[in-house]
Amino acid sequence: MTRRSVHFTGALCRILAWTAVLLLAAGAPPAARAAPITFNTALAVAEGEGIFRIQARSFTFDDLPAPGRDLRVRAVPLVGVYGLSADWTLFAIAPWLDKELEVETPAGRRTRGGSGVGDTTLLARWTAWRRDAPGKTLRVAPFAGLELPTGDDDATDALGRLPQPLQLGSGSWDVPLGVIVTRQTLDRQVDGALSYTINTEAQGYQIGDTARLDLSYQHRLLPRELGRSDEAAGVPAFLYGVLDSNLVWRERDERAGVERANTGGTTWFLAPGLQWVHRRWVLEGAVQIPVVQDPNGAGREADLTTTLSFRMNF
Amino acid sequence: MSFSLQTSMPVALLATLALALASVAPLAAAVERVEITVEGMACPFCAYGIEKRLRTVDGVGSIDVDIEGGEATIHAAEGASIALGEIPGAVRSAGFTPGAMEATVRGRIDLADPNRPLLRVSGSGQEREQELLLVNLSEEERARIEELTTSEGDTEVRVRGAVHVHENRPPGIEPVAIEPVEAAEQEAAETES
Repeated sequence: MTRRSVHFTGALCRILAWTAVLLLAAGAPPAARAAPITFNTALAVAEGEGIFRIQARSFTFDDLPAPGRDLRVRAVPLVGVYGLSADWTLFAIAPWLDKELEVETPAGRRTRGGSGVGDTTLLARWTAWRRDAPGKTLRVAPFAGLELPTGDDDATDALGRLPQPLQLGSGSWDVPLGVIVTRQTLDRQVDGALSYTINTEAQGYQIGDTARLDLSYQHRLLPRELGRSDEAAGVPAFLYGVLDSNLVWRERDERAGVERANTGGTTWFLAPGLQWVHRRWVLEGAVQIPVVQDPNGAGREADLTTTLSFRMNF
Repeated sequence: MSFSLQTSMPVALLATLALALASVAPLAAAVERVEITVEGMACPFCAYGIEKRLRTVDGVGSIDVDIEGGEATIHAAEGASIALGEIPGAVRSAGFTPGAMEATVRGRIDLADPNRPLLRVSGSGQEREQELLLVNLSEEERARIEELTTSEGDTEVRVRGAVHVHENRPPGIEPVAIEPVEAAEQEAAETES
């Protein structure tokens, strides 16, 4: 068994163990009826249909290993989606990033960082199986893609090369893959996704592979009942309450083949939010809260992440 | 009384023009309206994809989607006839599953083969005439059709019924209502008033 497959198997076991914990904590899924805010859905994109999505995300890392350091990241991912056919959908995700690290130096407090385009991800998603009925659907859609090193991975400032977390890009060609299951009714929707990103090495540095288990529950808050009034007939706008759960495990990074002790770890986020869904556009927002954090060694812990997103179809 | 050449020429021209206009009558027979169940559709954002694909079907004018009922109602464009056979494929290419379909069709009954009663519907634009098989006729419906095609001549009728789309045969329509067009339009006028 290769070292990578051992790591993958270990990650999978941890994810499955955490899944059992989460399901026991949350209770059985509701019988059943948007999309998650923090990850993808398996819902249909019509052949020839396009969707444009823009998100604004802001997060900080406090309590970094070295004292007096605060890392702040603002990201604006731009997402283009295209329905190649009824079953095949293509995605392109290009983030604009702004990273800022405040450090104490002998010369005083300094700000390091930069802004610009990060690494671009191309994905293809295929509806492998579905069961449709009036007012409901159940779908399974695997996906795979490639993350291109379009972001600058060798930026410098007056103090020298920026540390890896401040670089806009990884410099490496990485492979995300996974599977999404979506169950939607007129009243609610449940999504689940299992994914793994294989990160490769660039400039002697390899970011650790990442495994994720994402779950989402969306409940229609408005209209309370469909079809009862003119406003609730036809294609009314829906207001959903959303709760996303993101369980993220990241392997330790490596520099020149040696593991970096204070990198990687496991974090569980909960992200409550609201989603206003119209026929042509969706406006949504969520706050991602790190509920449980288990960074390796003295690794950094994540703080709140706020997300605001707008989607439009054409 | 006599007519001079100067008087008869304009009259002849007007008569010719009238005959020409009469022969280019606006399209009467048509697939006027279709209602189809769209399985798998459960949110507003999904409705747009359905509308986008249905607009590619020949003869489509406007589309109304009902999320709760899981239905799309397609109305023919003015002077056009909806290409019935294209609708299920349009729903599939939107990523959903086509369910039951009901159509309102205006056409002329053809009983040349009594075992294969047809409803002939003129096509629109470049499309040739559509044929629909009248299927699962009750004794009453069969008698009604025979009455309409014999006693009242070549009568145009409006048929509403469930549509069955076949692979290598014309689509079939299982009537729930058959009315001669004149009577149906009179009834519609009375309902409006």
